[in-house]
Amino acid sequence: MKKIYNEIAKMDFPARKIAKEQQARILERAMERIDGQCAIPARRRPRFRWKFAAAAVALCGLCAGGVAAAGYFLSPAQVADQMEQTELSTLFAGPDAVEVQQTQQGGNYTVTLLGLTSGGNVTGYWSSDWGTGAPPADRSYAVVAVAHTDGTPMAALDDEKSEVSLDNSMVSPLLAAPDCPIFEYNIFTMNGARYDIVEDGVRYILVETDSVEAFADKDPQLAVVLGQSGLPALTGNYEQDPATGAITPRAEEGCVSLLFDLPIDPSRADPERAQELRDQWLNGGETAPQEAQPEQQGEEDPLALLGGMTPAQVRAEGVLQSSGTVSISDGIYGEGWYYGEGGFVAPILFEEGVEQEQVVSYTSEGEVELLTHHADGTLTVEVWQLPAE
Amino acid sequence: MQTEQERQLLEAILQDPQGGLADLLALYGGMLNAQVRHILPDPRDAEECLADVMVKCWQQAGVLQDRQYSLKAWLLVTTRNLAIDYYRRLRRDCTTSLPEDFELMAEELVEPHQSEAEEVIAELVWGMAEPDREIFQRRYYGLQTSREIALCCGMEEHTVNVRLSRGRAKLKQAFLRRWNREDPL
Repeated sequence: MKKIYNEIAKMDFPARKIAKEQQARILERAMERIDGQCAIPARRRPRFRWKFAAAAVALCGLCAGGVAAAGYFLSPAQVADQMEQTELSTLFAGPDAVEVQQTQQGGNYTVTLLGLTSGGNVTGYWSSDWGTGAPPADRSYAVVAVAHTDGTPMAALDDEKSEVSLDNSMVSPLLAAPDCPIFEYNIFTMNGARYDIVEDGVRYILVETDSVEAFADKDPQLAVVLGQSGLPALTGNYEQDPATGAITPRAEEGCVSLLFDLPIDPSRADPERAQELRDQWLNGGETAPQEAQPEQQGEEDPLALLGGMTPAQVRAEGVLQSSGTVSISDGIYGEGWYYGEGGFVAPILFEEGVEQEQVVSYTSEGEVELLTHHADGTLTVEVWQLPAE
Repeated sequence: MQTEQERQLLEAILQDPQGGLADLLALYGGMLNAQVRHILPDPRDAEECLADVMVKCWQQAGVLQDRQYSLKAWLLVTTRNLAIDYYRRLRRDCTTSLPEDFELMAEELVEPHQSEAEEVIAELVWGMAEPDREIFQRRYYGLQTSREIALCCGMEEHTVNVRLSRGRAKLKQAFLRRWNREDPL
């Protein structure tokens, strides 16, 4: 065990910042338990606890009759201040900030997009995508306010009966462009993070992602789903026209799904930066293979050419050799899809419930294997033969 | 191997738990938070779990000091086990399940044999050749996703997935073989 300990000790692991508030709460709870085991209390001095939650409860009590009266909300800078994100507060007060105040209603909720801004990685978010390099200086931030339409206060963060929580709601940027499918361009792929507070009976949600501004020419939108979380909350509650990229909410039962236009000037789009981000999000930092110029094709490695093909290109140019659909089963490599003579795909390759397809292997003889993961959990494996170059 | 900074931290925890644990959180809190959130996505659960880790560290500080264990590694292993315990308690109410190998750990790392199972797993992982050993150390102790591991190890994510799938099956077989032979029950 000690050998393993010594080796693990030398490895670097990613960190996810704990705010001072969180540290204080963790310490407070630990000290309560330690005090319970000591004859003499081990604490030096009293510490506050649940500052946000306690403040929310107190304020809710004051305004139980009419929350968010007269449509008053904190400004994005004030929200950032309440979250003790002073640098972010400065960004929201800066020249790149955009005050929005778009309001939409769904169910008993009134959701208001309060504002946007962009700038450095000021919240201390960390992503393994960045490796050992510096965090990007063009993160995007947005704040929305969620209130009850009937004026009753939103529950405090620590209220177990809260009808909106991190587990059952989603706020994510989406791009309404045909080359930006929802399952590939969302808060999960875009290195997103979310922070919630409840103040004065209003739940404020701050989301941050890698630069949305770089995609300003891709009609950026902000999806707000109440009642569901995870990627299925986006793929299930929004429909995207594959031809135009247009996104339409189609709330599933028990869900509220809203869509806000993000008012970012299209002239601020940066295609070069956008490509860099695409490569990082979707290709692990590798530059996606570009279509070869005709005069270069003869010199290209055929494997590199095949590796850069999309499923649609494979289908358009190849001849189908075989196709079969399999379900998950248990076998020598554990649970997964077993097919053909020794083929195996691990379940973690695909998001549960999400329709997805990808080219997984190709040979120098031009044989390409294409996987289509269906929402029902089955997997179709197709083998295509492409003409030899 | 315990670093001098870790030795001083443990001393501080023994002398002044509140101050020492605050320093510990400042130094390792971010790493432990990232790890625990892989198992417990709700930040409130993560905080509860990390509070338990702090208590356990206070309880074990003297032993860790005597045995010169790496505090960082001990924290990673302890946090993982407590997060799995916490998840197990919550599981009845959870609609989403853990990735398959975390579920496997949740089944295996159960008292009263937890420490023995831990030893067997550690020995089997240690016996793996590189790069599988690093992949499994990152997966089993750091609870990293295959995407994170791929970036750390400079590999394709798909390659990591395949190696994890194959290694996991071998590890499971070896674990069960060893466990059946060594477990008197």
